[in-house]
Amino acid sequence: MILWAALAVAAPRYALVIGANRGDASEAPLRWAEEDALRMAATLTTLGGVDPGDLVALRGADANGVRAALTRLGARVRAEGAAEAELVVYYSGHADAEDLHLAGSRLPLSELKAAVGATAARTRVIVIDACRAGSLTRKGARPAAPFTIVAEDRLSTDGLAIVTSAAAGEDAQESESLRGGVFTHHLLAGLEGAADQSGDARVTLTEAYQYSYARTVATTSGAPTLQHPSFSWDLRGQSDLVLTRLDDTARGAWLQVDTAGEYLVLDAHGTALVREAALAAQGRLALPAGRYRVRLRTPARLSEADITTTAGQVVELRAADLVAVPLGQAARRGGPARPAVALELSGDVRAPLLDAWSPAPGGNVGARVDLPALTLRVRATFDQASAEGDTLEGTMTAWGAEAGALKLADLGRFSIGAGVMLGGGVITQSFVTDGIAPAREATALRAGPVLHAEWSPVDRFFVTLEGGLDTVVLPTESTPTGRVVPHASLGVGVWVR
Amino acid sequence: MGTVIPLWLLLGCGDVLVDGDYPGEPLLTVTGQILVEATISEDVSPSVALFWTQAGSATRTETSVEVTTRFPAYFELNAYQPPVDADFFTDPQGLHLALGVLLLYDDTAQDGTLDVDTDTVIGAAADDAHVVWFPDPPEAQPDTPEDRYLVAHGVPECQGPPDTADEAPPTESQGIVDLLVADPCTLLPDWNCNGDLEEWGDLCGD
Repeated sequence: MILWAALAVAAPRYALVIGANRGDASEAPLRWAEEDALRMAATLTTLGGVDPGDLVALRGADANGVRAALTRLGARVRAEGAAEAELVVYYSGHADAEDLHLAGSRLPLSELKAAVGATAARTRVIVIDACRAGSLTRKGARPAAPFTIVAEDRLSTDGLAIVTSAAAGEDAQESESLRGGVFTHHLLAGLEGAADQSGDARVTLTEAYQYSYARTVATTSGAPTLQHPSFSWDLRGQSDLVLTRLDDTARGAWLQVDTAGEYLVLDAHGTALVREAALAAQGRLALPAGRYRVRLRTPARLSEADITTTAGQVVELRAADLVAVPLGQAARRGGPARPAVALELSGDVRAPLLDAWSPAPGGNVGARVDLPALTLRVRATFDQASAEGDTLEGTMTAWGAEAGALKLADLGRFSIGAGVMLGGGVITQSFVTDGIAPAREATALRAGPVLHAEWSPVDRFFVTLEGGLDTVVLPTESTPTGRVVPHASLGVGVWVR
Repeated sequence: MGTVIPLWLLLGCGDVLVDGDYPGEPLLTVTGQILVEATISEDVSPSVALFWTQAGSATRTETSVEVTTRFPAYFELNAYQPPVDADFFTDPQGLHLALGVLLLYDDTAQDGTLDVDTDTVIGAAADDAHVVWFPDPPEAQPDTPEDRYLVAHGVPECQGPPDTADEAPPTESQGIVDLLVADPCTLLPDWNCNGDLEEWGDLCGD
């Protein structure tokens, strides 16, 4: 759960940010609760109007540590101007319907709420990202439509607002791909600009909640359990709560897009996800200064571009700047949503299967599916060898089918990898002679490793080069015989979806 | 209880596949032993060749097989191609057939082929043994063997082309022939019954 205080423009803002990976002794440690707390602290100080000296960050503290921090912070608020002060309390960690679980100790939610009230700050926001904390919003909770908060509410900057990451009885989830709590990730993205639906360079509590609610539900829709953030407003006044300001460009670096869509911001190598955000046209997202790879994900394709953000500057990313990612690579990078399906056609040559036969040229036609982890393929195969002796001419034809899997790694427009193929078929031998040489027919099995490389000059088309070693089992004079047959192929393919 | 098929039996089923140097199925098989009646050098590479011939003129060499130099040595010769049309003739009995003789030669070039210019014939079949091949279709001629050939011993006088009508048919064997290492000019059949073997051309008589 994240405790969040309503932030007025000029009122002093204070914040207590708590991250606790360890809960009760019986609970498995969380991975990113403390990192989430640090990210929230950074956002509060860069965009949320909290001076670094007015923010207290606790990592791994127990209940007494939190109590002490609240007491000290409350004393400062009362001493420095409680009448106008705003207080944010954020928590990420283990909890249940009654208590926060802090490093083997417990802090009742009721005590937390009371302690926050005792600080005498005029406006207080509590945001909690933890399991089953939705019970905290039951009392006084306002009914809300799934994606909107009642528009008539004129939320004020006086009072208490509580936002929880999950409804009562629900689990709050961490995400390996998001590298953090699901709700906190989307809330941060919203605060950093993704939630600014009005385009006024201000993210209000309403906007932040609506955005994080929708994104959390969408993200967890594919998980074993859904997660529904909940809220409770007990606020009075005449203006919406402004949580972050996006027009203070001097304090951050910004990405601005001209096309609405779902954007993934990754590190410069395109490996680690920094932020996932749904941005409106001309939407803006705050990012620390640095180099990033930005991807726009649509149902049909994935496009990307590399950017560099500098403190105090806005980087404008236009649709024309984005380059479509080959669909197979897009599938391996987690987008678009559908697996990429391609048709392939190749010509190949196989080393002689039996002594005194020629190498066998042939062809393959098939299909493949590019999944995030593997590429699966099936195909029909054909090849033909010949033999010419003193007394006859022979033709050996092989028809078959095979299936297998590849593990590919992407290097720009190239992909390389290795895999295994397994298949079988029918081999026929026929002869032309003045003597007697009856035709022969047999089945054979083959399996073996392959090395694969492909180049995709455009997003839907690719060229492949592949080589491998097949072990072929077929009947010969010493039956069955296993032969190792190297082969190589050159092909093309097209992604059809 | 059901029958359990071992997995390996499913791996590669069907006809036995052959290498590219498969010559086909033998149309004719002649076996026998090689007997030495003359001294030969250890450098000799004895091989056996089957010649289809009319009136003694050497036309073609068919399949040859290399034999060991252990004496008495055994050999097996398989022919994979039938005689060509030019090898056939009509004998006095009106049979359309081809005649083949076995020759033992020194394969100097080690190429499995009798080249009369470079190889030396060092022997031939005893008892004038020869192969009689009957053409296709077999129903056109009576008494055609099922395998379309037989190995005969002994040559009727003046065969090739003979002009007597009452000569006895050749004695048949089961395809077993003795080859003798000896002057071939003492072994080759005198097809034209003229007392010399000039009809054998380079092999004998010149």
